Amino acid sequence: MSSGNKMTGIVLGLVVLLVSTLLMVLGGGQEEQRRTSLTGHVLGATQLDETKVPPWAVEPLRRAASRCTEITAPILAAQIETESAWNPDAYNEGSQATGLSQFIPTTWAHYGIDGDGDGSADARNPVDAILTQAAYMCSLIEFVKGRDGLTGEITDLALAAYNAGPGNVQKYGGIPPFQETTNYVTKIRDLAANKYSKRKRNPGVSLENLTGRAREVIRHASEQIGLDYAWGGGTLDGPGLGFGIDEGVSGFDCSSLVRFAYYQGSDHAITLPRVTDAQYAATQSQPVSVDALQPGDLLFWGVLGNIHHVALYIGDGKMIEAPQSGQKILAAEIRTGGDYFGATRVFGGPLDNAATV
Amino acid sequence: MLSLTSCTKDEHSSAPTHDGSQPARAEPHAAALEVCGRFATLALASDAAVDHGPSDARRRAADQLGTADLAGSLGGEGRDHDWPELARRQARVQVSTDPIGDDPPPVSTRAAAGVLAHRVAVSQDGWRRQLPDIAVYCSLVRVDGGWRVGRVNFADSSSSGTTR
Repeated sequence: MSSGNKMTGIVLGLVVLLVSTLLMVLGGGQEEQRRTSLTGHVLGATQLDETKVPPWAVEPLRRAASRCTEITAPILAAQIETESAWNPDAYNEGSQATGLSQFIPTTWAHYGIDGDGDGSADARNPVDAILTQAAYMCSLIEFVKGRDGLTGEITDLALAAYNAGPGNVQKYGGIPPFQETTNYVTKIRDLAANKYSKRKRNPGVSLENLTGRAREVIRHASEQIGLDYAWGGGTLDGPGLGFGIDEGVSGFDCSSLVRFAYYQGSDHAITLPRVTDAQYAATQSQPVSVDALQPGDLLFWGVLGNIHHVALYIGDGKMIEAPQSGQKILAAEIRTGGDYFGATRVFGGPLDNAATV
Repeated sequence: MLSLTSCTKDEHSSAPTHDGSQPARAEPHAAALEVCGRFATLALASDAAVDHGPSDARRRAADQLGTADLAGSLGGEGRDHDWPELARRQARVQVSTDPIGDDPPPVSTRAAAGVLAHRVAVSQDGWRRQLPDIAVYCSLVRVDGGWRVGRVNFADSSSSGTTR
């Protein structure tokens, strides 16, 4: 939030946000219209390289990154570096932008969060600033999704709105043609993808012999190896917080992992149902015997009506799975004992009708 | 369709894990699942004739079945793209649920449970529309000997292709 356009842009943007929120609450109906010029958000790496941020920022960034799927910890960290160079006391006399995330007073008045529960929302408090930054970015994501006539990638547009104000994004129908704003978006994407992301190198999984569409599906699954299992966690766009004893753990469960891998690996063309039983039901028209398994096939455990576990076959008798609470996502030999139920093929089946890859 | 109570202690304690071994701590989570199911049903059962928005139903559910802190944390959960049509038709949403069986973790002082919520919007003039399923995940904590929902997530459950 360091643009000269920021003051007018943000004031205009706040008005636009408030009016649009009011319209949504009152049933404005605009959201029913199709928006064809927006592209779904491009997934960056979602795991923060925690060695690259100050220690006091690690936990707040973990919490903040669970706010919405599009705004990841690496993106938040890259924004903070760009806004304040990690200085909690940063202050811009011209715009009165304050703190790590450089909030101007009017924006803070609307969005400021007491993130550490000390009784006040303070833009100079790192925890408050980081959680408010995530909340505001997620509101900008919703703003972008809710507007017709915008062109561009969702997260890029939200970043542009953070810098230049949502009013300017609306006015120009996309990223405003301000050099500072285009540089801002480019820099943050670059920092998020390179400096602040921890990319795994697929330990134990070779992609060399894989061809065709399964390769990308398996690549996306293999990049999650080492991440924690989190029951109920994980979305189409990345890991998420688990439930129960997995509260506070960010990762995937068995079904969200294969759903994520297929969605990202098919360039958003194939979306599996969210839960295992439904994934089996949606693919059971293409059963596969063990000796006919091909990379990309799904392996299921349980009984009909209660299929409770799923894994992704990756070839050579191996699979990638999110096993259970307390364990990490891993590659392992397939298991066909116990209550192994069978395998199905996604490619060429009912869920693949929309696929064009 | 629903069997909030079908996930019984016996079923859980005897079910093998996916690696074929018996679960180490197969504590029953039927009670927690039942609360999560009731929460999901209440939270998604909007009635546009009386509600001001989809968040009203979620607030009712939180008041009845949530912890003291839950209602405050549900502020951002009110977005529902179906609401304008529900409001226009003064419709209400009927909800039924199926348990999510994806190996829920063992129960300790807290529990995890999830249900797949199937929703149908109906109005008094006979209009009816099936709404997308939502996977509802709950973290539950023990309060006064029972379970209350401490955190919840309403997850998209749609799929591609012709199956839905």
